Amino acid sequence: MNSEILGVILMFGLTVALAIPLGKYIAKVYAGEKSLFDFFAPLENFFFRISGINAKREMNWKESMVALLTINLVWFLFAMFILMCQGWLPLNPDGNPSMSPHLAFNTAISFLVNCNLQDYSGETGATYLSQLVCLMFLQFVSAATGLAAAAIVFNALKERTTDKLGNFYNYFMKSLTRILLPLSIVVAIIFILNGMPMTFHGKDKITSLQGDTVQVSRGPVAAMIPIKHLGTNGGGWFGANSAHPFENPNYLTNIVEMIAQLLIPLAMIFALGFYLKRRKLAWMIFGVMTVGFLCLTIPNMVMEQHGNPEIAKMGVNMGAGAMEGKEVRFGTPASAYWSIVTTVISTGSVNSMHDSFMPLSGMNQMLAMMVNSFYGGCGVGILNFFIFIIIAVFISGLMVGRTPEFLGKKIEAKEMKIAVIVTLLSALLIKGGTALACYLFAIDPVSRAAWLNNPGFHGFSEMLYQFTSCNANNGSGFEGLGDNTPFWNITTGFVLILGRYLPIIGPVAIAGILANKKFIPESAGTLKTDTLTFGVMIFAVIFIVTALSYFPALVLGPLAEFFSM
Amino acid sequence: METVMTIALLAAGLVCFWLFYKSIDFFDKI
Repeated sequence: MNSEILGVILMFGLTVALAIPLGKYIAKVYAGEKSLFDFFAPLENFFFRISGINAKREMNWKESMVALLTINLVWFLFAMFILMCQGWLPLNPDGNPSMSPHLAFNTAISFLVNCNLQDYSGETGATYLSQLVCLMFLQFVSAATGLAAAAIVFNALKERTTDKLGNFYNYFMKSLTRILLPLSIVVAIIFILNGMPMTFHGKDKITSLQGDTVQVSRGPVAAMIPIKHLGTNGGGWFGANSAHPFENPNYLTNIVEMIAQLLIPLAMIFALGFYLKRRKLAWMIFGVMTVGFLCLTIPNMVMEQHGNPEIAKMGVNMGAGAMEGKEVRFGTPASAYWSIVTTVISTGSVNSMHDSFMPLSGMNQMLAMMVNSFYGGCGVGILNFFIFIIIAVFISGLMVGRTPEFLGKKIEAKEMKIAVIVTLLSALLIKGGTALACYLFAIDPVSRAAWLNNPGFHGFSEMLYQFTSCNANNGSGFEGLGDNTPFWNITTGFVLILGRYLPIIGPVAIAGILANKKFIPESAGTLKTDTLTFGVMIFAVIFIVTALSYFPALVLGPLAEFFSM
Repeated sequence: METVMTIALLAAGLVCFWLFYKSIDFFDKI
């Protein structure tokens, strides 16, 4: 077997092997049991005391969501201020300017919602202060926000009737101090040992072999990159993201970055099983997600390894696969694997340029973001999947003529309405945004809407990808799109914020409403939701919903490009 | 121009958050 493919298989296997014990640990943390990092308790209590928060007070789902929104609103204002003033704030050795209002708006929201879409280049568009105090801070807290929301849902799905679902701030703080921070420190040490820069000095001047003088950007990179991946954020220190040799120095760091970004989303599935003591349910969810993940990954790896037939016609040897836009040190299989890993979860970091992938590979990347629940983002992936579970339970109940129930709670019209609103919102934001961009491009493609270098099918894919990435809070892009303009910064800013909070509030609302209902013990008449049959049902629901929502748009972009080759 | 755009975008962000606060009650009563 090709050693590169074997490497990818081993990488995925290792990630799963690490995710199971981590899931057990996360379940313990949220259940309030004794764990390894309990020594952080005094620090947590200090923050609670100075904030005037009683972390032991139980909240209902509405109070939890108000708390979530309130702290996010404060961070939004804070991020806007820092980004718009970074030019005259300290820690700016390279003398980079402040961001324009629309770029600051886009960047603040992008990092706030765990997306990290970057319409700027880190080397010239941000300062050390804004990268560390604002952007890296948001990478930690946005990931913790998603994890805390998932913890509330876990608590709501317990076999009991209650409206008390724990304390949001408690879950939030524990996600930071006991999950994200310790893991980030371990990963940062690995990166530093492998040559990733960690310095506050400005650009370095080097002389190349040809005798040219080159200014090389650097900075405290190793501090940011661990949480960039562990928190499924994806925002890089440098514009080239993990294709930059300082952000991803060698094949070992490439492995560590790939494992890091997949680790917590996978662990959250197992954490659900351990927390609810329903391991079979967790394995069913893992199975459905993994089948979806492999359906996207395997074709991508095959297509990229086969190379680009249009380039082959020019007489270029395609023995190494389609290498345009890929790093020679990583090769096609690891780049193709990364491209799906980073899009099924909401990281959006890249070690190769997605714009250069084969048309159907690009389609798979978009499909991964359109589904957004094959593992999904930090905490929010499991919330997105929960929506599909609710729809599948409801449809299954109708099919077999039984009252739809999930974990002993009846699924009724109210929960279905919320699930449908959340599901349809994604299609509306993606297709509405793309339609608007296409309309403006059709009116004035030369001056005011001159953002496409590829005006054909691929140009449509670039615009579709951008809105898909924003709605999924992913952050990767087809970088042929000129997106640092008021139109793109503002419209994608709105898609980012709408695509984040309603899909969190919706599932938490469903879970909170279910928790308040009478618990019905399982009986012979209960529809089993931890079986292979139900797993197939969920997969079918995801397939049908995604196909109905997005197939026409995909036909106009990547599919048309594929058939025109 | 920059000041006007800054104020407008800050206001737009605040309106979004206001909508999210309202969506909590909306989902509760739907």
